[in-house]
Amino acid sequence: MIRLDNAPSMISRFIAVFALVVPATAAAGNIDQIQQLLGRMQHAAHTVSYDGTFVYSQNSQLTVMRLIHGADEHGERERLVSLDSTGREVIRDKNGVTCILPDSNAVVVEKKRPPVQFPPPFPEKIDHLSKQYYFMLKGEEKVAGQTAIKLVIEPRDALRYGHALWIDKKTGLLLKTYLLNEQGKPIEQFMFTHIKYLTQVPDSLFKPAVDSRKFNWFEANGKTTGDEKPAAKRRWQITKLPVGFKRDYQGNLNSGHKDKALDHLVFSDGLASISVFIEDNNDADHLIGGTRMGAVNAHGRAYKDFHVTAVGEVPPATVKMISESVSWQQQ
Amino acid sequence: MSHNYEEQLSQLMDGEIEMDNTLLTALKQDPELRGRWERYHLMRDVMGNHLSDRMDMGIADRVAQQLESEPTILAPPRHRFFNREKLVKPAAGFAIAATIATMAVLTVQTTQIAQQQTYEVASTVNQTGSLPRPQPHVADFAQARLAAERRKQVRAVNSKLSGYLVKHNEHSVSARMQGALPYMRIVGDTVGQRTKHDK
Repeated sequence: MIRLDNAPSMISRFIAVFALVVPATAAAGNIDQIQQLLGRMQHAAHTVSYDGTFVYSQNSQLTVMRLIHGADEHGERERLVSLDSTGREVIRDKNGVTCILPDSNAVVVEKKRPPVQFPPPFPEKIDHLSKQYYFMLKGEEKVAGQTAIKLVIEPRDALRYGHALWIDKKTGLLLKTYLLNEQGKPIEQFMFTHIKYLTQVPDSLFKPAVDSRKFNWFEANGKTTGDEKPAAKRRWQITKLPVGFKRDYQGNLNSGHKDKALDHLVFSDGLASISVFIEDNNDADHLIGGTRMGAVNAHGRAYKDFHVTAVGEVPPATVKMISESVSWQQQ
Repeated sequence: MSHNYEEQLSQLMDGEIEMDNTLLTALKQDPELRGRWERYHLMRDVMGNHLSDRMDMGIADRVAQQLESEPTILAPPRHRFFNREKLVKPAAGFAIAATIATMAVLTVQTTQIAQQQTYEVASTVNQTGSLPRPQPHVADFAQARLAAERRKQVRAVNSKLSGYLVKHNEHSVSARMQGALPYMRIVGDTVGQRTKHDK
């Protein structure tokens, strides 16, 4: 028998329990939906053919570019054309990367593809990411004439940035994305203003707009420019990492000086990445303190006979914290 | 102009000696010596491709204009890019996109570096105590030298950061969302975009 004077408190308890259980159940449903959505987005990035114009902005700079992507019997091909006065182009295909720089009368060719799988698999399991981020579906919006599903990814702390993604409901292609700072304001934006999906992309669309034969041609030597050696013997420890970050990668880079090593460590929480570069010298030509490169922050400091630089699309405080917590690990 | 002063100027340029009162007075009084001082600076800057925009000597302007009319890449076609020494080489010998980043003439704001160097110069003067207040034209030389040093340092830092940015982007999770995004970041990273934040 329920006493009447207890009824309000019972109702309150029921509401409280309901409030705890129902969103959790809804979130579980959402997680599956979001996982599927992000999987489709990743797949579409490699398999959908299109010709689109997009705007890209970071800070107050705005760039308009054309992006042509094809996936057919020729493999995956892509042509990125800057529509500003520089007319720069980047053409990527299975043979490598060609950069055409009319403003420098130069063409730079790299036949060897970057050694890292590009792009790497994404996403990780959402249930893992959801320990550090809130995932919220925000309905549908029109982007470049297409219906897009809006997904907002909000960090649970101030040590990483948030994301807003607009994903084409029909094709799964990422049509618009914001990188959001600690105040929730966009610091990097990418948005298609026009997109035309194609079943077959004509070869002519992958040819550069300028006659580059008269330019100076340079061939980047893949062996000396892109190679990363296996993990270093040197052991570094980072004592302050934001929760959820773990080491993804460690390798050695060619520092450009034969006697000076450069270690490269990558840390990621599954969404944000931070690189730590540790160079084997402490010359004057290093970054001391912090700087911002568009959406990417960097912080450098001297450490013993080394120089440490942390770089990542995370808030300034995060690269600073990591840069300052690098130390030599005694064996 | 005595041979002794020439030698002292040369040593001064090489950082082997420091400016003293005698040389400073000689510089003030001897236009030929000042001309040689200017030419030493100019030669060094041209050789290092670090022409200072603060140098206002006539010859500096003419050489600068001539250099500006040249393409950024001065090597003949089909040379291996990374064997060249004239262009600021990417610090870590990074991949192709580093080339774009370097050519974009990236800039880190140099306020901090400039302030630091000004402080160092000021300290030197104060410590010696006996140095007279530099005359304007001598101060100009010092400023030109500082500016050249600053530009050289900024280029080196930029070059290194460009390489780091490119290498980081290859590992960035953002690339997993939209494959061309790292290239957009590099193409979109142009003059004046870098800003210094707190140390």
